[in-house]
Amino acid sequence: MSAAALVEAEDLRVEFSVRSGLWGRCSTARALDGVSLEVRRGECLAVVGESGSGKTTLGRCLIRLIEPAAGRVLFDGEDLLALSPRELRRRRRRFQMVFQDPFGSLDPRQRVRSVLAEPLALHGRRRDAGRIAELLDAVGLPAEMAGRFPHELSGGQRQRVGIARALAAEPDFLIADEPISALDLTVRAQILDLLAGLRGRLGLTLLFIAHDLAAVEQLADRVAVMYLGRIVELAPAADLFQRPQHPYTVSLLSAAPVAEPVRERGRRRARIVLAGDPPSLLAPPPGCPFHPRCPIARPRCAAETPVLAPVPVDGKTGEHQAACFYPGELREGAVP
Amino acid sequence: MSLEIEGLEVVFPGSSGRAPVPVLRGVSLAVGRGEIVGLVGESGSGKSMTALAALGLVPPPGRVTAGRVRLGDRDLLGLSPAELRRVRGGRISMVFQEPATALNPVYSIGFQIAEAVAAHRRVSRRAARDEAVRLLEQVALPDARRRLGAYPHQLSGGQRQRVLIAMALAGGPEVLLADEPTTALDVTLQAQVLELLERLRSELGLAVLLITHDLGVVAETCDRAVVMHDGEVVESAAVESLFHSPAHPYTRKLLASLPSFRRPERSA
Repeated sequence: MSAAALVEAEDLRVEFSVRSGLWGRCSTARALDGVSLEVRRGECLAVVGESGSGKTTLGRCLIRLIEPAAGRVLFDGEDLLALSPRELRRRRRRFQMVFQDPFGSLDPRQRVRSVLAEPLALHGRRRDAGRIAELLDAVGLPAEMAGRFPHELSGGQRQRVGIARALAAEPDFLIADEPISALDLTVRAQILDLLAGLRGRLGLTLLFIAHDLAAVEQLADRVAVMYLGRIVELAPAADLFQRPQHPYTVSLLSAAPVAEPVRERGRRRARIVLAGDPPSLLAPPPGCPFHPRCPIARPRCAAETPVLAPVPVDGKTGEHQAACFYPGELREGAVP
Repeated sequence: MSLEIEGLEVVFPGSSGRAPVPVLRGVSLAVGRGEIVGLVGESGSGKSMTALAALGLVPPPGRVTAGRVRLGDRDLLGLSPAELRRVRGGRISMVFQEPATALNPVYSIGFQIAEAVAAHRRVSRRAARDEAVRLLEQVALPDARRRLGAYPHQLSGGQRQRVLIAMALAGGPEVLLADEPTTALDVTLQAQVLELLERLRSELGLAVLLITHDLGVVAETCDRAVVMHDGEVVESAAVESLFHSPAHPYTRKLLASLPSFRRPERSA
């Protein structure tokens, strides 16, 4: 493993058994199908994809909240999957999670003070009023919030408490699973700013799970795009947005509405609208998982499965990877 | 104008002796034939309440205290419950946000659409089913006739939203109120549904009021936009001028908090 990697996943597979109907047969949904990636120290790696693409499963798997059926997860060089439950609990201080739903992830009967004191106690940290005020201050909340109950807080304030709770353990690695999806627009921007600021100040390594592409570009150094349990493209953020190579990424960027009306008028005619729905995880198509919806699919795509491999962009082969036999062929050909 | 709302006020009584809470304060907006108007604002700004009030569906104990809702030459607020029922789902209908809960899980979609058809026309069962097929084809649900027997849980979110739109079209409406119709959908499916709304607008000349919190959706789909904040309309303008020269400070704040990403380079 490279020294730069804090977390490294190799060929992760996660399967869920799903029973169809009350007496139906059990079938297996492969939520992750051979995912390998590394999260480098101090970077923000964004994982984007639509519902059911496996991004949350991947995040949970990296900190062993879900046990993979196969594969390896190294955290700071140590095999997480080999740890005993006791050792794992001790390691948990180093990786923490911020959840999507700021309403469901806080206990309605706990004051903010006890929400924050719990992880402090668990990890043997100081938990006096001063430390709690520090934590609140770190997420931009006044110290008197400590006495409040979750229902007295706005969505944005609750999400700040959720972040403070994750920070209480002083983690190295923070997974933020759609931390802004449930929030209003003006609040989203504030939470993104907060995460960016914390990352710089505390030197956090961040895995940012999102479906909002615009938020991703603001925060991420690299982006992994997932489709049906696989990573289909992985690239530095600027590259991915400027020169997407996988046809799914191109379509995803094209489908995202942009708040610019004049340019939109020209863009709309050329917008790539994918037909159909994402296929079911229970019956993934053979070959490339994207081929049934892909505008440039050819016979080979239905027969063979492409693997994630470096793609030359501008004649240079570097960090940009895509799992496609014909990378870069689909372009959004808009007339300006 | 197909739909004209003027000075609409909705008030909820205050809890235990407190002052009543105004949730809509003099809301005025209009949607013309073949026009898509965006109604934008954050949670609690009164977007959905405006649509509900227009249909006479303000949940009690709230009530409409002033204003007019004109559909063509009629004022909907003055109608009797029976008249209102004929108008609702007939000349004006609504598509709700959550396609998972807006459909009845124990009836097939064919039954539910046929029911909506029969609510507004005297038709035979067979004719209602044929009409359901036609409606499903109109909203581009693949394999429509075979899908009639499908139950909501057998459809994806995007397909369910198409079914809801088909039901809303069953009465042959002039006005469609769409309350966050794509919020629960992924972006590639959202693009499909927005395209469908645009097509229906031009094919059927529908007047569409599109309620959304997504300014990108507004820029992409709407002709005009109405911005709401705290129960009031703060700005109403053509989409281009709203985005390029927002007049109200709140609109400016909304636009400023908008993250955006650089688009891929385009091939010529």
